[in-house]
Amino acid sequence: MTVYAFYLFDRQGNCLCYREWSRPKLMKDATQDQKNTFGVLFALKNFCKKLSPRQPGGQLKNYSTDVYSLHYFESPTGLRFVLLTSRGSGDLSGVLRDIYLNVYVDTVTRNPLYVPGESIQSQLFFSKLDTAIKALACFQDNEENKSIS
Amino acid sequence: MSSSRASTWNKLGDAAYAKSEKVSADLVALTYGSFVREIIKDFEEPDQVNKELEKLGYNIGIRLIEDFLAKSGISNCSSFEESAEIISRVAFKMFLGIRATVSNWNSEHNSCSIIFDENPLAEYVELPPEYTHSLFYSNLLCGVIRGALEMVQIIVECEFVKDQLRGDDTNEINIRFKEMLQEQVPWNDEE
Amino acid sequence: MTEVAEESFDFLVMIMVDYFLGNDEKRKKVSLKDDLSTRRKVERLEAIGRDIGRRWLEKLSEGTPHFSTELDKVKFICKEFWIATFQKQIDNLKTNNKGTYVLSDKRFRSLLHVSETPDAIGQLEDYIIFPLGIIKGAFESLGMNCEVYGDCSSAPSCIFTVNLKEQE
Repeated sequence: MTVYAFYLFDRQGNCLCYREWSRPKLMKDATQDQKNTFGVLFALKNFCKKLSPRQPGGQLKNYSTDVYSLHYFESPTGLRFVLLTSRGSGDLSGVLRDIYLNVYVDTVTRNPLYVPGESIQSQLFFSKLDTAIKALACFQDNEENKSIS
Repeated sequence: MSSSRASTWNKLGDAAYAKSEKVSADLVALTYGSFVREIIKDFEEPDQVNKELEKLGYNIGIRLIEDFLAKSGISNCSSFEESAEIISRVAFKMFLGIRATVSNWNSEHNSCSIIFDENPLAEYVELPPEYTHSLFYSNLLCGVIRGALEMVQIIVECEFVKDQLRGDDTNEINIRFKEMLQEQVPWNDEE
Repeated sequence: MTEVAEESFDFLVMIMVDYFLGNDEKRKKVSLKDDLSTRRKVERLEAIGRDIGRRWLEKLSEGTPHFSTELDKVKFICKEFWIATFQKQIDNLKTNNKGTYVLSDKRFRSLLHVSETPDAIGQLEDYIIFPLGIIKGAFESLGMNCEVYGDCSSAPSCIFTVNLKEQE
């Protein structure tokens, strides 16, 4: 098992951070990839809510394909945390929530050098994110995992 | 407002306050006082000073909301009514160590007041006479509330209606609900 | 003494720095230290810090017995004052016994949420101007005129050098 990539979007769809670990197929156009990801998740999220037999309800947490899983967490302020992993990694939306609470708030919200809406430059954020991801069971399982971030 | 919800929020506020690292209210009051004095030097006109304080508060609010959600554990504040209670029972306690109350709801339930007797920002302040009736010394708080709520898609307007520094019996901020921000559909580009 | 959450103070100081130095993105990306108008802004922010530091120390030292030596005063700053202002005491104090004191704080409050990359140091300095002012004001309040310098090149650690001026 493995972790492929992490995205963080704000409410307006700006990609504040993109990191990848062992994503085999490198995206040709990163910006386009981010745009598409945001757009598709936006539609999917609303679709999930619409289909829910109970209202309010139907929060998107993750979906799986035959190859990979996508995990999703959205903060009440509209920040969207997205993680791509191989299949069978369990539900990691709680992990994304922890990244919001413990990593984002500490190194971005409270970082005076961060300009709201801009992409994140803080090395402290990157290193704490990296530590959190590498601590995941599904990351450790993979021996060939090489960080290319 | 059911009393059990109210007491849940009170407890949340107490827990968040107990958990956070603290600084002396005196240091904050001294710092805020010096800051306001400089803003008065720059803008002179009380109305302009009020406006600037509100703007600065807004810049705090858009950040502070994330910290608030993270530390309080509140994950949903979808209605205006509920948000007003959360601000007064949880946020005021968590950030300022004081508890405020919500009252004066209008009949349409789109306007209310947040009332608080203690104001740590205004400790040791005496306004010069020419500002007593025109400056809202703690107007920063209005901006903080507006900025924080905007980040959770609730658009409001806030203003002080009572201020103990003006000789009023209490401090009162009026909040008027404007609209819920709808999520924008992401770019429709032409490829 | 009533207390408020440290976040309230941190956010307040954050917008104060933005207010006095300008909150555009440009400032946060390039250091404009040599520019004259910037220097004036920096001096103003430092002066506000000094004024707060002076009055803050007076409050803190109320009821404290008279300090008998210079070292007692410096120790008061490193301990009581530092705890009340930055939530911890100074980790290490050195002096050359000729009026220079070096105070090291391994986890300085104002630098806890920023990263230690060298490219950010120019901008990191913006965030110690105000605390440097507070520290200077505190020393002055004890009758010790001085210059205070801060080195934040290995954030969140910060090393303060205090040079006392000759007393007439």
